[in-house]
Amino acid sequence: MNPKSIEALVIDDHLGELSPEASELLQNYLATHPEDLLLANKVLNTIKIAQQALNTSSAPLPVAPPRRTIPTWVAKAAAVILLTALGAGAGFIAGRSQSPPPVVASAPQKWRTDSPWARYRITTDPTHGKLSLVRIDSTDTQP
Amino acid sequence: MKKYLLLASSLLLCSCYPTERVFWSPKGDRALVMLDKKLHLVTAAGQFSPEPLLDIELDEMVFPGVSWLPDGGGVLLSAHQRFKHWDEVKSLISTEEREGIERLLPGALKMLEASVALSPEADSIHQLIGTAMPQDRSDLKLALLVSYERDPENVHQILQSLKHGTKIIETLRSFANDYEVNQLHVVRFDPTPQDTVLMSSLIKSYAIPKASPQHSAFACYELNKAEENITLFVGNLEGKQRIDIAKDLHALSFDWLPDGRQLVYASSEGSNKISIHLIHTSTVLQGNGEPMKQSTELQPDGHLVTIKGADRLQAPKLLGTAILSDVPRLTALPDGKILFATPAISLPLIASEEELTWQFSVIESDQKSISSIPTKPGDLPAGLGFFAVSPDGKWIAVVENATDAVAVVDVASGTTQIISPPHPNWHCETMPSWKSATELSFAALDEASKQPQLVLWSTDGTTKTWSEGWPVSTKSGWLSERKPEKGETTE
Repeated sequence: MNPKSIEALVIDDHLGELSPEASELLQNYLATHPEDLLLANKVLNTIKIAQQALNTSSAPLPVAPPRRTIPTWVAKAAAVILLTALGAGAGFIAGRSQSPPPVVASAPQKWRTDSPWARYRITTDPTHGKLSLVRIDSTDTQP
Repeated sequence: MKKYLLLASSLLLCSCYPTERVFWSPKGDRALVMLDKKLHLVTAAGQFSPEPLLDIELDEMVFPGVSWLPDGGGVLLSAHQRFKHWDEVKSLISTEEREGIERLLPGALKMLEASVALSPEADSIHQLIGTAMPQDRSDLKLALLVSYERDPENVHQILQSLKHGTKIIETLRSFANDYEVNQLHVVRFDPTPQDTVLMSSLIKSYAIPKASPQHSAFACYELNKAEENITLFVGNLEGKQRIDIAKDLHALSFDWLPDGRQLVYASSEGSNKISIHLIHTSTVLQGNGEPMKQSTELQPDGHLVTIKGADRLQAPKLLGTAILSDVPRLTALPDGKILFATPAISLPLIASEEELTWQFSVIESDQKSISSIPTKPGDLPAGLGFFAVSPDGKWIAVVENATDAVAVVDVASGTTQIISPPHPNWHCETMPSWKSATELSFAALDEASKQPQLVLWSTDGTTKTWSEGWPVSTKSGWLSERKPEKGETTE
């Protein structure tokens, strides 16, 4: 095993990020490879020094205040909106609404002819399937 | 600050954005204008003081954060100053912060040795330190900086064994003797200018301070550079009391409600890449104008106990949730309504190549209903992140970075007029600013000289140049000229 992999695995193991099986495999491997065990011990030693250095400064943490809780309706609304990926959703959901807003088909309005602003369209990138914004040349499309 | 820059630079549609440069006093008799990164007082007639308000450079890439006190006698502003020596700096910052850094000094070099042992092939300071520090620890980096100032040869010796040691030592030399102290100032002009520093920190920075319109208090964001989190807090103008209102925020947008005791602010859920925000209000000042006290207090046995009372901060009131711009702007109107911009699309939505349109929405004064300002397609820019509401709440000035056009929306009717036309390849870099309820200043291209000017537009339709005769060098950043972004895409 190359030294980089050993370092990465030992650090992950130290942080508890390896599964028990992977951790056991690593220990078995190190037990049979003394040169790698030497490297592993060096890495662990260094982590220990690093922790000691940090611990010399760390003041005790205050008791954390309780986390803000979010009403269920907000979580549901947020989940629905998240699915639209690009923020294409109902602009605002009033605080006390218990049901989703009704679907209203709005009649298309004519675009202001003297609009000075840059225009953008939501499109799907056929290669990656992601949504993206594309600037529209004002001479290309005038609804 | 990284987080702040990330938020500011992740604007949906462009990489640059209009920034605040002109700050009118509440009476409209004078303004602070950012010229060459420094603030200068300018009269309503356009005469500016050649001497800057403070001899401190402001960072134009982040919101400079200037707020007039309601009586027009001074301003709150955030700025940073650079110092060369720890001995100068340590007397400026809080005792807690100084002790935290000094406590690390014995371990700082051990930490560096550990980093060298773990990353012998590191080719940058960032990579070297990042290896041994799972979290970005500004205090430890500062301790390293102090250690380097005190004994550079020792640090050089530790770094020499690195494969890229020489390169890293060179980088370290450029960092050395450079301490950036972030400060929150209150500067009072009358009778003579007097600068008082309310807060100073090497680790935290302060953004968008806003004075209460009714009381001797302010609200402000505190950005912890290391942990990349944002806290909204309230303090009094004596700098003696403060209380945190909301933590772990991703959005930078709040405003005082007209009573001067309540704040409306946005927070986002999940990720800073998602523009879904919760809109809250919170009563943050007591009846006497002092900041509320915490609703919980730590007892000697380590437990937190909840204390109720009119002087205690209550849980915020959730008004609703909205999709806001990546640079959200919640604005409280004088009648208590809350205005913001949202995309004009309804759910559910069939996948199609929709053109992006936005609109202004208003939470009514009763905070139970929402309405939209009836603008028409093409009236407003896509993204709609850059707008300024007049002091009486009747007009909204709108700009975008993709062009240099300026429009004004009548809040009551939605009627939108273009008061400054676009010019090919010119882009807005300056937010419009209301001088009064009827006069607006903004940057516009002077057709004859092809130079940007600051223009005063009046609701009676007249315009006049305000920056006539100002040095050309001061105007260069107000607008920019560059090639069109046709076909540019953004995910």
